[in-house]
Amino acid sequence: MQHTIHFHQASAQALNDDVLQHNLQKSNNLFVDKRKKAIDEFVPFENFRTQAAQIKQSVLDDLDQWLLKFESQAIDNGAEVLWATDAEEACQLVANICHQVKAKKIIKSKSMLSEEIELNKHLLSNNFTVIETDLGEYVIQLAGDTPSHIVAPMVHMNREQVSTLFTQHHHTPPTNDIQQLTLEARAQLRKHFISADVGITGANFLIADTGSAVVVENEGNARLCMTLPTTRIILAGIEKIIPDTDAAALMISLLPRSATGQKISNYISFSTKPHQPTDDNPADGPTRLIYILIDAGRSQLLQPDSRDMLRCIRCGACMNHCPVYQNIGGHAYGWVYPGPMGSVLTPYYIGLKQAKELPFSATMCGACDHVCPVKIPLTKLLRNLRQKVIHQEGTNTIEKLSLTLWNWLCHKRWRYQLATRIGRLLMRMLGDSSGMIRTIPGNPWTKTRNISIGNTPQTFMQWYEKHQQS
Amino acid sequence: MKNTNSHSRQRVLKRIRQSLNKPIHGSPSDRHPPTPVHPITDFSELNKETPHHTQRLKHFIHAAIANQCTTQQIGSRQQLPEAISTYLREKPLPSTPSINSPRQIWGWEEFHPLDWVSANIRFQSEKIDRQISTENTIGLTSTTYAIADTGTLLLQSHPSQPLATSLLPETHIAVVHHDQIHHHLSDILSNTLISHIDNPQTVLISGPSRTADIEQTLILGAHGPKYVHLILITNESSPQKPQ
Repeated sequence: MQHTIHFHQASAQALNDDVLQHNLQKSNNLFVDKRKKAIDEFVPFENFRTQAAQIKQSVLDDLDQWLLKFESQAIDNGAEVLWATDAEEACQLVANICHQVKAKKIIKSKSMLSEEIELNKHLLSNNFTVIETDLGEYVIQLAGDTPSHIVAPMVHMNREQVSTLFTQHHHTPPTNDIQQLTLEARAQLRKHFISADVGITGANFLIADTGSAVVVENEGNARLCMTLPTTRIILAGIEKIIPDTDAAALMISLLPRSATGQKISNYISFSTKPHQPTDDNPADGPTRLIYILIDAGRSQLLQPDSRDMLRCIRCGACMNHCPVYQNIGGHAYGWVYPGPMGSVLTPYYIGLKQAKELPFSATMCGACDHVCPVKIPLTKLLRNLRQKVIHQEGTNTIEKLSLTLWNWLCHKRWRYQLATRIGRLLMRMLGDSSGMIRTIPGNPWTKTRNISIGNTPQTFMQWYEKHQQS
Repeated sequence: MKNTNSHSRQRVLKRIRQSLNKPIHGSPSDRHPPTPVHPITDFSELNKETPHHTQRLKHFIHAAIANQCTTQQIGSRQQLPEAISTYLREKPLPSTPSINSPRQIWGWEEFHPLDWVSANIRFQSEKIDRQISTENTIGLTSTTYAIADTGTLLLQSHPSQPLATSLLPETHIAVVHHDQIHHHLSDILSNTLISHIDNPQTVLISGPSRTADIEQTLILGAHGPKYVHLILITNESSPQKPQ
């Protein structure tokens, strides 16, 4: 997928979308407040954050060896392990498996990686029926939409929109009762769970020592995907490896608290081997377990100046605390991953040219750095990307001229001093008697804010030289 | 040999090694590679918060209730059928069957020998019917471990202990013995107890299934059980688990 992301245009549209703004305002503080309460109650949080960052980093520094360890253990457990260099290959591998087992219906739990590789589109073009089973993803699928958050995919929608979709697709009466809507989805999806041939899940973590996949969820749909169908495919990025069960316990203490403010998510499943088929009854899980380890740009991200980003455990805390994301939602970021982590990943995964506006989407306030449970230096990564964009793509004519002028002014002290004195004069002309500039024609800042210029009669250098003499 | 796409495998490994500035061809021992040095995980900060082991039951109940579970305490397994009968009598149901007709429960084989008839319960220990209604159905399981800190159950899949029993019905009743309760997840997932996730599937369950996808409003019973009822056995130790 090579489309260009027009972030500035999309964010302006998002700000003018009243329904979106109403829906975002309802949800914004909830994630922040719940996380804060959970972290405040968890004394070891900072210690565990440091350890989690170190553990993930040490695995990334030897990623080839850890992947081989995982593969070796998984194969010894009776699972199959396939590797995909890119999105297209990953989709083809999934389709091949589904053809091989003569699947008609495929059920999926939430997987952002599957969104990255556009798996559903590929499977539908191969005439498979694909059903998203996470409630939010199911609603998104019915709407023909895309997720706007990596943990809460339909945070941009409201109950009325859900009711309209259910009435249209289920032919049921409309309702604004959220419990009723949830029960309706439960009943509809249970039929699909029972009749599916293949279950596809992602993996929050892959444990190298035991050859296990860990899936963290609240609804139970992932458990159903990994219990009822006879074939299960696990899609995992190559960066998902952690060394052992101790690391798993550590990550599990950080992920739910950072994502939703829960001490622990409702269901955490460890899948280690295929189930044995039984003669008279279906097995309690898939008799065929297949991992697809997907690169799709991750090996490139592994280079030293961007490796930190692969520590991400997809909690969503960065976007929940981002003042930009809070005001525009996820779709304005134009691809699978929104917010600060998306602003770093998207340029690397789809191309700097296509996503050159995203590194500039941040205010660089640093909230994301502060809340990341694996201490990814997101602002540093964004700054690096900004430099890359300027070097590779250049900048616009006005900015070039402005910087050239600034460069010329700064080269000689007298030029700089003259410029600041002219600037001070202009400020006095624009300001009023109270020391405020209330309007600058054509400048959007002063539409909602004033600029204080104070009542100081001299420049700082004038004041400094005067005081030096005295 | 389950790995059937060695060409892609080699390409991915080569790219990884290039980014890591390592030799790109790996070694002949790639099929059984030496494990890199394990980073050590230190849980001592967590263990500072651990209360005395005699408090574990109380903490577990407190955490389970916070997860929207209900709880009961009994002395021994023999009391289980009557305890369940009491729970079901008090449980509100959208459509209550005749007060005298037996309630049906799907349960693990280990509970079969108990006296269900006297409690007016029809107990079935064969594999749960996958077509069962999502309403008014009850599954009964035991647990391998429980975690006091988070009110969590650890269940492991086994032919006589299908996890589907804890997933498909509307109500999940779980039996927990006092000696199965540990304080933290790290106590039971540590490397020294690695066999605990050697079963095909192990699951941690912390209350009824839930979702807050629609307007961040919490609703119980998304896809899994809407009710989780824990029966704690305080005077008996847990039986041996099947291997």
